[in-house]
Amino acid sequence: MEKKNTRLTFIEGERIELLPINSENVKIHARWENDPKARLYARNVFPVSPEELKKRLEQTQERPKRDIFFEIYHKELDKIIGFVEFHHINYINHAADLSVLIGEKELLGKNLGTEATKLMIKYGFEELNLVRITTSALRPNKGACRMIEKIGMKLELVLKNQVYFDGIYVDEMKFCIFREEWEQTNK
Amino acid sequence: MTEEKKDKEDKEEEDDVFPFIEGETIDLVAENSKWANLICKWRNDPKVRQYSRNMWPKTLEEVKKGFEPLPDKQMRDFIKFTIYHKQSKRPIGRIGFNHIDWVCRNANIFAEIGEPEFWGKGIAGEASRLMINYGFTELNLHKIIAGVFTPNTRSLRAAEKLGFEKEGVLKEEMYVDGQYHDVHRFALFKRDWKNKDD
Repeated sequence: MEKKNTRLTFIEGERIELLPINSENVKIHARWENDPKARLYARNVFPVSPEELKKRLEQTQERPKRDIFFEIYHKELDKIIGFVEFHHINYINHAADLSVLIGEKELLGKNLGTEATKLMIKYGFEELNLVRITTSALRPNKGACRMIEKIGMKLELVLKNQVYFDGIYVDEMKFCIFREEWEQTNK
Repeated sequence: MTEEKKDKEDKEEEDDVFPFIEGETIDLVAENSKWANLICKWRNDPKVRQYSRNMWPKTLEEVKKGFEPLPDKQMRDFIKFTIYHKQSKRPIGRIGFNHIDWVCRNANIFAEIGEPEFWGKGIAGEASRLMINYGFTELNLHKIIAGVFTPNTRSLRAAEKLGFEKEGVLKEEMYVDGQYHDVHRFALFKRDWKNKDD
């Protein structure tokens, strides 16, 4: 019960909630960042120590924020299972890049990433007044590509052999969604 | 001053002027710390500050602090220019946006002609038009706000001439010269500015 009281829910979803980063969780994040399977598609090719991560995740005082980071909290399991973030928010073009990671492998394939992404898109359009949200995935990450298109994001371009991944060069797929498109299907 | 020396000073002056937006009689140029003394004079000048509502003395140190760069990557909530009179080759005032809200896409516009000899020549109007255009076409703002208090009839007229519409009156919002005054809040939307240009 006490644990529940300390949780800072920022966005409430069905099965998950998005919480501001909690530095007490830095070890969990470090585990995901270094986990061979979790980092595979996230392209973390260098080891990350908890200290390094702590520094990276430190909340900046800048306003408005260029990067917005949330922990994904699973309500039923009562633990954080991954993260989702906007980075490089451009307040002139009103655009941002989105990325999501489910760090707990046993929870992959349960559409939790989908739910988190949808919450972020809604947050980006309705609260941050963005007009365009982009994301990218590697071609071999078929699950992610399918998930992104199912949400309604459209393939915009393919960067040929952009990323050296698991011993070979693979394509990076760039997807995007505009507010108008999103409003048509979600309002 | 000898002719030669004066030429040299003119040259130096021009080297320090960086126009960012070009107008007809004026340019909006990047602020330069060498004008700190001048800006400080305007900010304290009783005649100038009356309408700018600077009721505190402004030290040169404070003005200079305003030139310091922001922490890395930080998004600024103000953008200021010096109004530079092209023919007389001198800075004559300031203009800018403050209270920029990058999410809601609005900003407050302010303008101040620090040299009274340039008042009533439509310079603030020209500078404002450049600034508004910059705000809508480069910064992608949605709405520009201006606040004018009652006795400032010149600014009230200027705001209306620029296409601003009155949004409301804040009763007895300002205490100036021993009296309370109403503040008239004006707003201009991008859609209306665009239509006006066409």
